[in-house]
Amino acid sequence: MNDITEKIKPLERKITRLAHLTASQQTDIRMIPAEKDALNVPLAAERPNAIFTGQARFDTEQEKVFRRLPVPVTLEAVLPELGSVVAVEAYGMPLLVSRTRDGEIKVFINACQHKGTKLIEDCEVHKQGRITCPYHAWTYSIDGKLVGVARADMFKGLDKSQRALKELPSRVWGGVVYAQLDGSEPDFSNLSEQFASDFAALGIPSAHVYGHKVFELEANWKLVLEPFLEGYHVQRLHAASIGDLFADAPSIVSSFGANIRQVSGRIGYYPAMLDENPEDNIHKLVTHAYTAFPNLVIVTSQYYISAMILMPRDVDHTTVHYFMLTPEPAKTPKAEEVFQRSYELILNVFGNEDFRAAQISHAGLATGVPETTVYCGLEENIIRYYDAFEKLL
Amino acid sequence: MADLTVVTRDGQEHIVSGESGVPVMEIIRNHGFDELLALCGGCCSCATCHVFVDDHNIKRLPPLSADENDLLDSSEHRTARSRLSCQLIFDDLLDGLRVTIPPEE
Repeated sequence: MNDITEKIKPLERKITRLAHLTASQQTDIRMIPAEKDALNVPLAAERPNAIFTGQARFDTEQEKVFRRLPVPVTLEAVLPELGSVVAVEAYGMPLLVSRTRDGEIKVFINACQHKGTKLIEDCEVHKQGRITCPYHAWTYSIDGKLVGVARADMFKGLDKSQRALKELPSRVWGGVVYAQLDGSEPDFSNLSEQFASDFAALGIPSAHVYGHKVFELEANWKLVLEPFLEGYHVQRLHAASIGDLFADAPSIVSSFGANIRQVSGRIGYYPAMLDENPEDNIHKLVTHAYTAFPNLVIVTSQYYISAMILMPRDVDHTTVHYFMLTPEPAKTPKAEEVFQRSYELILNVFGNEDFRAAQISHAGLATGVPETTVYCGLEENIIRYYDAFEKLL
Repeated sequence: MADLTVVTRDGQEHIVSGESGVPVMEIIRNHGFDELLALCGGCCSCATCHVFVDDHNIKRLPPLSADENDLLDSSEHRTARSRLSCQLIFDDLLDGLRVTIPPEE
């Protein structure tokens, strides 16, 4: 990891400069060709319709990946304060994610050990040292210990130490909270160390969550993911919104197993721009787009970062948790206005354009047409990602 | 009947009279102070009846049980003067007891 990154106090950073980034990120950025020199190579690749619409394929993904390997459930940035807890509906499971007073992130099943009652029903962040069940007032500390049982004298032989909240194995990875949903010993080997360093360099662990929105989409999760892996649609689907800001982008791609990093020049990019003003915001010149194993998307913009967790719920149903991250809360009315406008724009672009595209694709594919989807040279990353993902099935 | 002083979150002192044999938590609630949630109904299970007891009174009280201690540990405002008011049975010997409602969690 780049030394400079370590020395920068997160709160002092308002923009990300080239020098903030990891050596690996910088290398890729320096390889981006000028827009006029962009070289794209044609490709012949297909996938069967059933990978999007087949129940058998969905069940296999659930069994081999989403329930067997650690998956992202939320971002640690959601819990900036010590002694706070939030309920998260993750992949159909009610979870609690807490930050203890020692700063550690823990993931629990959101179920009282008395009768399974959900302890927190809303999705607000609660700054509190304990959680009391609304049903019979059993009380847990936010590190999961059962600390209070109402009328404990009426339970014969109840051992409180045996009824702590069920904790799931978890780890914070570049600011992303991963948990092992089946409770078994987690295998983190599919996550990329490079991504963890990159995300830290982008300021994701210490970011401010400006907005969080949940989308329920009638589409297979891979159809929701695809637009974030290809630039082919950008000038077309987004013609009315942001298409004119992006060329059929000259981009550099690095993959680390089923983790793909793309970095592309914005419109009119040429490499000498990087050194014209080293103090400048690097994301005015380039855009990073990450697909992190197995279903996390990170996209940078000039003033914020979008993070999305695409949670498969059924073959034709995906829950998307969208987070807009800023380096810090808006401190001036002007900053607030920029953030607010950005939030509206991005929810419109993703919600009404990318997510809509996924839903209308699914609707057609569900009829069996086409029998295979077909991919071009501008969509190569989708194939790269599927090749790596399918190895696990 | 003896006097109990309750200091609410706005810093106001209120003197109320308390019946012997009744938990301090119930005396506070019976006098209409709604800052004390006492979610569990007074059986040492939720810590929402947390109060600070004045220094000179603290020795007059029964000792902390292990359960009460565990529950107080979950409060970010815990001090050496912290008690759960459901565990403090009021009586004439406690006349003049002064308790403060801690900041909201």
